[in-house]
Amino acid sequence: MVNRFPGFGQEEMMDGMGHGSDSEAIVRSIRHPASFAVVFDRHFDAIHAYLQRRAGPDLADELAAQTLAVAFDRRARYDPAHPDARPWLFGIATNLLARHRRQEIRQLRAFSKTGVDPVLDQLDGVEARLDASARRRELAETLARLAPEELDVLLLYAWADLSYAEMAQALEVPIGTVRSRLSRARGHVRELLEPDRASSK
Amino acid sequence: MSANCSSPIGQVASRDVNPTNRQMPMNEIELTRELRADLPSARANSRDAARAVLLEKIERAEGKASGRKARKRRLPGMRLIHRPRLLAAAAGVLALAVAMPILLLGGTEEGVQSAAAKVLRKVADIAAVQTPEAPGAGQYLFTRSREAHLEYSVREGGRVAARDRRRFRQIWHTHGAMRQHPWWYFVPEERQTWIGPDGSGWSRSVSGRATFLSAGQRAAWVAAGSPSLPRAGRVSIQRIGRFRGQRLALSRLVRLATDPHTLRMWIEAHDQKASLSTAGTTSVASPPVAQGQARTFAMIGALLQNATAPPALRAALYEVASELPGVQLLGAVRDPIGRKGIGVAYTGHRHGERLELIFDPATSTLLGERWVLTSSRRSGIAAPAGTVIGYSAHLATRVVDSAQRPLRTRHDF
Repeated sequence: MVNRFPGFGQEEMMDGMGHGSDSEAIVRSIRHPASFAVVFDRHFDAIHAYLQRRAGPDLADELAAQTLAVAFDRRARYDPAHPDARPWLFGIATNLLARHRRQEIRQLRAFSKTGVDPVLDQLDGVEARLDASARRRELAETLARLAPEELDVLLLYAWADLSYAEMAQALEVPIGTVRSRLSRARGHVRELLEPDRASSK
Repeated sequence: MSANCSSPIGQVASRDVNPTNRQMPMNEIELTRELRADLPSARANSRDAARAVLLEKIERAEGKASGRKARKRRLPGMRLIHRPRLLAAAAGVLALAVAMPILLLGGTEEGVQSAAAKVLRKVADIAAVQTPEAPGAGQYLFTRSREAHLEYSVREGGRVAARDRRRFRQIWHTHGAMRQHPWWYFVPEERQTWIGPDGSGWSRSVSGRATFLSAGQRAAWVAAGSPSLPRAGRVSIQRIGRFRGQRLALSRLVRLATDPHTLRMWIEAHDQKASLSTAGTTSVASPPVAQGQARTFAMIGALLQNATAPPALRAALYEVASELPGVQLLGAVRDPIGRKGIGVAYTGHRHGERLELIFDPATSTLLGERWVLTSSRRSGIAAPAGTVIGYSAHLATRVVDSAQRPLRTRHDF
């Protein structure tokens, strides 16, 4: 169910490609809540895609909706110095995902052990075949063993394409912290690529 | 492994590297990107559901903001009879409706319908005892409403023609075609009517700015060369209450009013086009071409919005609605402009749309109606189920003296 309120005073909701920046829409939405819908239209897909890749479609459905809802609740606290709301939203999504870490890790481990990825399994129309790449299965195991903050930074970087500065904003940590976490995570994954490892293909 | 080796900031450029290029040594970021690459995007349902969650919150936030203003704008001219029994009945209706869960998506069919029937019968009782606003000699009954319907524009032989969905739908089903037009836009209108003691009078509509049904549809419109949209501020003044010089069918309805059964048969048999366009109703969002009960339900909505409908007729209309199988109780909902009321709905499966009527349980006033898409394929509108495709909201009713009616008449029947 979408779009219940067309017409007077709610034009922003109709024109999802509103010309203003995210921060303009968010500031306007403090007094005119309907303006926030633009933020949903612009970013929902990216948030959902990221959450789905980490935790599967069912959890993504729930958490992506929750991310935008939480963002709406917090809109008065948004720092308008950031024209792009993407890092802010990814930060919220990451925090919400943290509550489901055990499930995320369990799925990575299951893939590593069996070669069948439970995330792919949950998707309609995607065949979760046995993944022949031993290296990918080892990657899953490595990811499962990373410290939570390292995993977050690695995947925000590799899967969501956030920059260092954006990750610092999203996770509300100094940029140096982002750098060291990413570096540690990359170091662990790099070990899988070393030529003297017997299992690399 | 130290933080400095082999991962300088320059690695940001690694995003541009094609991860499937096996000639280049793979780095750890590329390897990470191999995991669960190319997943499908969110299902339409999940996006819609998430948007609904957000819209619910937006709605509540707006309701809070406007709550203070809304109290001042309470419908003038509709007097309540302040008998304790009546207030208790009103509270009972509200309590009954609120206790029901939102029934659109769950609950047994029978449970849903009988709940709706109970509520509608109670509202009929309340409608029967309202004091009507009746204009005296030289006076008018003034109403104000806001509404929006869908249109699309096409180029035809070098000119741009606007197609109103209300008529388009008729043409479609005559020809059996179910083409999906790629874009639709809303044409909102502010409408005022003045109706004299004999049931005839004038209507004045001012159109607002056309707005697209979705960003995607606007993009399709742009891609088609942006055929011109109707401009805002068009004023249309029409004579109402007379059709081809004859007094309207409403007076016939009044005579039938005491018997819901006869009233229902009359509604089902009657030529709805005449009555709706001339009855001085505020409901023009979508006249019913739907067959059978969907059409009856829509007619009930239209007639309930007629400001001159006497209490007995309004009570009978609610009774007819209570006996329609398939009417669903929505419970406590908000009308198209955010006022709280009780909603009942009927889904017209043939045309893939649902009509929601929202009334004030204390006064039986119909606050507004909303047309909601239930099937893109059947309606021919490329939008997700749940999209609002038309609405109207009643704003005011009061008796005014003759000096306030418009002097110019643009159209006459």
